Amino acid sequence: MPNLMLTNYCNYNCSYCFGKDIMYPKNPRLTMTRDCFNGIVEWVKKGPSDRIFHLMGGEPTLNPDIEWMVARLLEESMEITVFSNLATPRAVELANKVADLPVNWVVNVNDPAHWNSVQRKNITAALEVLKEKASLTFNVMPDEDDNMWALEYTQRFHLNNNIKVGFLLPTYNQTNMALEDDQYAVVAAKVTRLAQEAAKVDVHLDYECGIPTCAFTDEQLGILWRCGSKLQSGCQSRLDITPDGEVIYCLPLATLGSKHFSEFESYNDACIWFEMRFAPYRMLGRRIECATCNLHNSLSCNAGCLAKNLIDCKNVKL
Amino acid sequence: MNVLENVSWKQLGDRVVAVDTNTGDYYTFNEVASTIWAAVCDNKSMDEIVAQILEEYDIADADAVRSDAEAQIAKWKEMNLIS
Amino acid sequence: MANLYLTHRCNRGCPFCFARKVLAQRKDSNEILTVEDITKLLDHYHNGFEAVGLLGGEPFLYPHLAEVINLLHDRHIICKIFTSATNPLPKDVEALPASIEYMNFIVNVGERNTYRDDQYRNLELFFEKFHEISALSFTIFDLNADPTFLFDMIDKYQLSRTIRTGIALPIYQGGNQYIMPDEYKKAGEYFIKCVDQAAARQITMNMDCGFQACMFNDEQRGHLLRQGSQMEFCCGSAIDIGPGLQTWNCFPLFQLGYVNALDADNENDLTKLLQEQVAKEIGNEYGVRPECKDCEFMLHGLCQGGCRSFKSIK
Repeated sequence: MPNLMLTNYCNYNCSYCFGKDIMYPKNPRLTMTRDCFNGIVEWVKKGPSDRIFHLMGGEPTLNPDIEWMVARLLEESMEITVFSNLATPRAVELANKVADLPVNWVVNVNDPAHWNSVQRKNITAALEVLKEKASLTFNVMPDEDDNMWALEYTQRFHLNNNIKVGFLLPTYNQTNMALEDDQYAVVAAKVTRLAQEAAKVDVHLDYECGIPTCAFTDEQLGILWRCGSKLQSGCQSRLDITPDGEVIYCLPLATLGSKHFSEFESYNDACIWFEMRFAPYRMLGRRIECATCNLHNSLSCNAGCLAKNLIDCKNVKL
Repeated sequence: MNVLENVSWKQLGDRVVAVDTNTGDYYTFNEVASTIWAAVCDNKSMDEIVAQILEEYDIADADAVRSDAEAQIAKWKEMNLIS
Repeated sequence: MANLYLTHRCNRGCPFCFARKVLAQRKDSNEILTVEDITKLLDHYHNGFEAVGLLGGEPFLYPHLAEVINLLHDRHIICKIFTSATNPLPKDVEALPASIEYMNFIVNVGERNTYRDDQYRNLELFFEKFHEISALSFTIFDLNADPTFLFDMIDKYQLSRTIRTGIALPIYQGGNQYIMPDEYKKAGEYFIKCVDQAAARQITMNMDCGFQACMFNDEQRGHLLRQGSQMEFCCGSAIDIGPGLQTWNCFPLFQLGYVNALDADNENDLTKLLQEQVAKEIGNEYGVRPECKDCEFMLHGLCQGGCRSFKSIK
């Protein structure tokens, strides 16, 4: 099932946001309409599906129709995950309304030390209500402390005990702040330490895409495995659909090309179309060693983020 | 000479890796071939390519270098990687 | 996955074979798992098996092999055949499509000097015919053995580039040769050496059951992950079904008794029945070393503490 961008604007302006290439203010503000949403739902229903919808943005709770959209999906017995920073009043309102319904929340957060009072009020109010329906996700920053706040918040609010961590990924046009190659080892060490501390309180790490296995030493990989936080380095996009119905492979690669969802027979066809076009580029890897790496050749490791690997590539087009 | 549009490539250290997006065929060039490839992409003439290799790899036999470079480029044309 | 034990007949006699006791006890018996019984089994479970293994003994010595493969195919069940491929390929099996949707082969191999010339020729002919759907299986038994022959075989015959690697396990109360628990760390180092050699040739070695997490340290486990090795320290729930639909938990625990395959209504319940059968004899506890009791890997479900057949070994 695809990721639906309900808005291309956000109440935050994170320097590392990998949606910057298509987000406001670089682009006009777009809000997904009910018509467009209905069209996508019917289109997805046409083919085989796992009945899971991801609602994201920008910040999806800034879309005034989000409550209607959630209700629509629940009527269709879909499983819903909302990716939100929970810092908007509508997020708190919606969290209260759907707390007992099959709606999960993946909460995009950064270090609470950076929250202002309004953000703190809204986020904590929503987390109080959502509890294990909410899980935290954040980027591990190379120059910040070791993110123990994530464990503290998970325990304090009785959140889902899986935390998703990411490395800072670039957009293809390099319009955001991203990790430099020499920072990967620093972040890998922080992730490993976090996994060790998390295991002590029965919390485990999941991973955003774009993390290459070779960022970690053998010992770190073994520690992650031992802590129940085995590293995943694959890349298999669910496809993103922008507020105006354009299907893109993922936000970092948004500017490489898109097609309107109506140009595809089904969601499955769209997946095949994009995968076939990106498959050759995956082989290029990020280091010369990728050519002979078992993990890379079995697609278990995508050699990091495809957008990052394509930045220095010549003749890239969909 | 130009790299064909369907061939995507990048430099990884001192090597070039390339993929033909029409066929999915993937190539890794050795150091010298990578140097020749980059020179072709910079639109260098054969004389310039030979001079570069002689200097960078400290080889004395210019005729052998020219012959090998021409053979390499001919092979790439045969493989539909360059025009 | 359910395994159909088709026949007691085998021409190899591998010293580490954990079917050795079954084969020895029944070597004069002509009994086979009949096609009729297999059909009854599939009907009873409404074809509810995603995949079925065919083994023995030696499946190529089973007279109805092609018929069973076709039967499974007709019922959309993936068929995995465990063989040494040292007997002539039955003609009707040779005529089957070399297609992964039909069947695939796991071929247990050893070094060249463990084969007679005719056996090795049969193996080569088999690979020439079915290389596209064949993968190798290798049992760690001799910690000085050079694994290069495996990689050469894969390259020469264009076989699957993944090797299923087992560690020689004991049959309950003995009867075969196996790696002793106090040699497991050495076996772990040997496995890593093999994995590294395999990886240098773009071949992956995955673990079959019986390995223990404590065979390795963090760095070694991480290294295995990096080399693409699938680590497996938990006991897969095997169901072995033999002649007359006698069913036992797995070959190493064959001595602990059996049930009838038709005594349950689904694969999960059949597994439960078998586990109860085993538990009657050796209890429910996993972990064959004293330290398993307090082991974090056991606690977190990352390891089941090795093969329970070791409980019978003093």
